[in-house]
Amino acid sequence: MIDWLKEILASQFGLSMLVMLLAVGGVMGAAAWLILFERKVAAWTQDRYGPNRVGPRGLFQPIADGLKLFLKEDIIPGKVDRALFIFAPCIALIIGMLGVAIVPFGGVMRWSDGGPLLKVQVASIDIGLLYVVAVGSLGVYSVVLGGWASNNKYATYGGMRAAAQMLSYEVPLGLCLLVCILSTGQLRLEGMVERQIQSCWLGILQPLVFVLFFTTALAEANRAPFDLAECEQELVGGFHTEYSAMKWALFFFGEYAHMVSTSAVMVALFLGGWEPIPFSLKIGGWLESVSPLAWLGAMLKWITLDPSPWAALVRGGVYVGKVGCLIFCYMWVRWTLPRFRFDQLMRLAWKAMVPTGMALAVWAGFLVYWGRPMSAWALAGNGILLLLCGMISVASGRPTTGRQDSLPKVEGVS
Amino acid sequence: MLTSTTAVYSSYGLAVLGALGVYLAMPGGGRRRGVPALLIGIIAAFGLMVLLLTQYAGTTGQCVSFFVLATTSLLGAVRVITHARPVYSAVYFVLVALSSTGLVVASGAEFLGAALVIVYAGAILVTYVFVIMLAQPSDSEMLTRGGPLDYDAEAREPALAVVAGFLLIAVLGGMLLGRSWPAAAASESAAVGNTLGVGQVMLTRYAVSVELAGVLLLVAIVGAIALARKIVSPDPAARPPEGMAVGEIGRRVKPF
Repeated sequence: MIDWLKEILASQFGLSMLVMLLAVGGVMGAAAWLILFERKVAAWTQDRYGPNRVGPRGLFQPIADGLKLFLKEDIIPGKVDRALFIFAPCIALIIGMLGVAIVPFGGVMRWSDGGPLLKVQVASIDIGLLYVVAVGSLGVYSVVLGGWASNNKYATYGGMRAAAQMLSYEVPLGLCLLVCILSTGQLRLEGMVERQIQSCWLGILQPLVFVLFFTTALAEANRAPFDLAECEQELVGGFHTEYSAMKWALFFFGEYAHMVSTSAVMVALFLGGWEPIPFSLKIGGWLESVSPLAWLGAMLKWITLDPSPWAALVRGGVYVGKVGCLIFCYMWVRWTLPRFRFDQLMRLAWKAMVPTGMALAVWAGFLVYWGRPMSAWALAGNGILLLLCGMISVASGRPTTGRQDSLPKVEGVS
Repeated sequence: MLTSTTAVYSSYGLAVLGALGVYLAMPGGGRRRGVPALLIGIIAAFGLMVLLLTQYAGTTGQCVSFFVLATTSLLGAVRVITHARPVYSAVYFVLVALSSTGLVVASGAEFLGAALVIVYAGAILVTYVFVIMLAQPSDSEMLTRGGPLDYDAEAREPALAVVAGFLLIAVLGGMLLGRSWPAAAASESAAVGNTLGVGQVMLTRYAVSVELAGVLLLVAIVGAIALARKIVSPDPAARPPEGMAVGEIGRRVKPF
């Protein structure tokens, strides 16, 4: 039995299956406990306790919530389009989970010395990032179809808003990905991570791209401040107004699964994947020459490069830790910033993010032409662009909209 | 393996059979003809599969994946044009795009597959669904009447449409079957990497076409903005005079 298992795991297919099982189980479990985490973060932001009744410090709250959602009556309203009404939440969860398939959790490893090198990820495919874009672009169907099938005007408005928002924010998202592809010369995520380990994290070299990408990821996941599709003040519950019990929970799970998979992609693109700290090879080499800290340097190098299973496990832990930090950022933003108005949302996408993303992509193209895509020049370009954007926004003043035009003029306020 | 002439003529026969099936499956005409349409469609699709399998050899895995994906996309394609409700047509179109992507990826063109999903399923069809949602906001009318709306219940000119469509299919299919194709240079492309190869060809040999397509899209965007711009002013005095040219209107306000 053990020998047979070992034989299977020694092949790339077997390892991929193992990673897949861990990733699917991990994302599902994570989604449940992330909801608790979200409530705790909200409570922390608003200076209250948050859920603290079920289990120690409220840790078993997700189990109670899950039980409740399973046992609740699953209502399908009479005049909905049944097939699409049931289909929509399924797409939400499936699309949310699919993105995890190409995440390189732990670099390469081998079970024993001399064995074949295996990649610790579900699938290493040639198109890499394009797969992420392709899967992400399908996510809008759940919201649109769910909103339409509900046969409710608020739900339809929610779905329409979501469609317009996702289509708009896919443009800057694509431009950010273009910068990453140009800088690393790779489409495979694990290749991008290796390239960043050799030189520097893209999040340090191209901070503006990172910020843009994070913002578009928030918008694509329909998270606050971009959650206009479920804007309570205007649309009751938005696209999920008519949903209840487990079907509603699938939408919710889909949102958290989407957060996990986009965060994982962001870690690979900008935060050096499994590398514990930036420049770990150089810092590790330098530390090894300092006698009392030689063990630390050796450990840094071991974590980053060693192909043993234990190192791969530590790398996976580092990766998951970084994903957790990014998810905390998602929640931090959600409970800090108020929701955008729809015209502000569109203006941000088309008049701020698209031009900035284009400028960044052009700059990345020049750097490739000069043969130094991953140099400090990238950072310099980001800085200059940020300065220019600031000057333009100061010079152009606050934008006025139709509604602001119609308000009576107030003395002393421009 | 049939001779090419036999294969071409049998493909014509299958096209006629398929046309008959699709014609019967079209909505409207006052009577349900789903069962004969389904039977004829199954026979035509099965014949097509057998014909293709005899003409082009492959491993068992390739044959099975081709069979499953091709059947799905054929069924989806027929439902796109025969379903009485536009939203379902659009959703079936997504199914066609996804299963065609499967076919493309199975034959080794990963980049084309990703492009198909991103462009068709992810962008164009979302716009379709969007438009259909706006055109058909309410479902309740349909439910009270117990069937699809008047203008969706009946196919207009089904015979002409089917003849034109299947003529095209027969001509294209006959052309493809009648020629012998050189074995694809799979090993070469696999060594370079599919995406890299496509990129190199697009930016060297077809650079002008790519640039032209980009300019075309830019013109389309500019045109759309020019058409969509409107004065939004609550003050009647600030509104433009009657009969102002569209281009003039746009200069006064910001689009958002």
